[in-house]
Amino acid sequence: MWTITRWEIKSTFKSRKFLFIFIFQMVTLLLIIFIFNGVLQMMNTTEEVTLTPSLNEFAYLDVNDPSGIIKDEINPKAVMIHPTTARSPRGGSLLLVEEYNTLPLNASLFLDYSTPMRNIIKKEVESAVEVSSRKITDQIIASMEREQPNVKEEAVGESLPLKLVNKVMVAILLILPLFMFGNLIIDSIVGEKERKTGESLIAMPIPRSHIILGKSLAVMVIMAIQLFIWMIIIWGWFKIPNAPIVYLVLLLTAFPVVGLTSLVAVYSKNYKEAGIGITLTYIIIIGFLIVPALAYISQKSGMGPLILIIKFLSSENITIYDIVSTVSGLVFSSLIFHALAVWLFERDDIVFGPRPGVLRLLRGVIYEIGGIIKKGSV
Amino acid sequence: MIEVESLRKTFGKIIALDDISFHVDDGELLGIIGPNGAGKTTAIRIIACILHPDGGEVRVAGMDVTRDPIRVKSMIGYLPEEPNLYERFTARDLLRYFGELYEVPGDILDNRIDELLELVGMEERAADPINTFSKGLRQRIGIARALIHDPPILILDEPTMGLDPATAASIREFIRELKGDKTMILCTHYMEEAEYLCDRVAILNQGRILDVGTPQELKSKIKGDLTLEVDLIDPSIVDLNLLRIGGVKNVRLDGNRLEISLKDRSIIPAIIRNLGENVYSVNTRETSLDDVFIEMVKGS
Repeated sequence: MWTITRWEIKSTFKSRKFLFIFIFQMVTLLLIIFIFNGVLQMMNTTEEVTLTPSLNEFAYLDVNDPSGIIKDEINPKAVMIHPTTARSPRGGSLLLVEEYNTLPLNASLFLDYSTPMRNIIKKEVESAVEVSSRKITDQIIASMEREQPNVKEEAVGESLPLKLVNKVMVAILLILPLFMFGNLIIDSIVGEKERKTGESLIAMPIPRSHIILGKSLAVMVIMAIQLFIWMIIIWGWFKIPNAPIVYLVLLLTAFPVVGLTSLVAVYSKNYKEAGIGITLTYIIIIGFLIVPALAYISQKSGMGPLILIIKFLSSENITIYDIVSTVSGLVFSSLIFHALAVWLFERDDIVFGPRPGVLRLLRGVIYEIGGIIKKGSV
Repeated sequence: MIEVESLRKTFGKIIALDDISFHVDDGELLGIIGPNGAGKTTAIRIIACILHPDGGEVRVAGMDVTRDPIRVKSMIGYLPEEPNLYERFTARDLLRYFGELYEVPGDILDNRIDELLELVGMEERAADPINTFSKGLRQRIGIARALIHDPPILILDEPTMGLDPATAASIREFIRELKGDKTMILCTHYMEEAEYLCDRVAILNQGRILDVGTPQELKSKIKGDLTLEVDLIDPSIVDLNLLRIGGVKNVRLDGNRLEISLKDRSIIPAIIRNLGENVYSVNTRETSLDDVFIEMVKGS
């Protein structure tokens, strides 16, 4: 088995195609981090964010506001203000505010319909009017009240969107590399069928199970290396806590993913079938990982590898039950998937055809399990 | 060395092997010939522990292939019908990989690789990747791979199929050189190849063994050692009672041509006399395994 693992690793790292994919994956992941980091910073900042920076200073407005009550509230980043004393528009939009002494505040907005910037001007002026009205109202209320209650507002906890971004997204970023190795497993297992090299390998004096397990192990080793690099990048970027433990949980999560991918690859006749099978499988796996994590964020209960990672990342209290249940689930599913992959690979009809349908195979599994139980009871 | 008894194998509803039995003695080269789909490859795959039998027994050096497959496999060098090789590997790397899988010790392996590359005439291409090799070169490397652990048994499935005549001849010579040292099974479509190389031949058709024997025995069973081909002037007046002449084994009329299988040449004058003036031309040829094969497969 070790010989197969060693040679698989050696030939993979020698392959230019693999090195290209490896670098491409890392660049893609880095790009995801970059975008994610930008969104995160935007969500954390208290400053106003202009979503249309390219339109800055293109919206031009003449303003005649002697008291400055509305003019001062217009965002100069969004609309370029030109103070004027004119009372009618001269080839552009004009905001005319009557001098403010008492309520009501009278103002007119002449919009230039020849420019698409009129919408930005209209929005900005409306929001400036709203802010200045609120200020005037506050001043009136303040003048009427004798004693001001001292109410302080402070933010505690994280909003749900921020929680999702901070915890779930970092965890998702961490598990992303697990799903980038499907092609390697397909090439390793289905490639033996497509290139018809498998027959020679089966003729070697090693059990068939060693071929599948050796190949799985090789992919695991390569995955562990990439995960390690990835982990260092994420740790360096986001300063995540408990990085070594999170790495171990990720590695453990990789085992059933590789097992299930191997199972699909062993059953597939060719690259095309394997590609479709693995895409569907990965959608299901991602669903199984992410849905409980999202539920955990809102309800604070649940278990699963992603939840365990989120808990480690948030330095939350983790019970032995959390660890044992998740680890045993991962180990059990990994064993089941690998055992099924080996069982399939032992079958002549799967390797050499004619391949049985999934239902016939399932019936076979049930009979075999029944046979084992029967033997055990005898 | 190899004993096959009542071997059965099915693929779904298709019976690939139906109760076949044969044996291969130590140092013998047994040829298995048969049309496409006869079950040749299935039979040797079971012997090489690549497929599991559905019934019957196969013993290699006294070991059962189902109970002791790892030990059996380590005694066999196997060249599949399509020796597809790992394209990215160099010839030397490929031999090293399979050598390690056969657990050949490192110090012996290096020498063995050099010896084999020299033996198959590829020492100068040792560092080249397989994807730069022609079909003939791939076949040579395939044979070297099958011999990497110096196995006592060699199983070759169509080793010369699709090769040009010169390369095929060189591979045949190579197999001939190995005769005696190794116990071999050779599956082939080419009757002249089987006749040239094999000590005994098993004829397989539709999963059944039709006959096993030396090429000479098989030829003499079906036909004589010689075929007399007589082109007739008028085939309607031919006397088919030629079989009464001592030494005539078989008579067949095909259009204007009369094919008479004989035990030896001495009775040719008697036959010509019997046919009289109806003879247009006469030709003799040695009976080949081709004739035996066609006759047997037709008969079955």
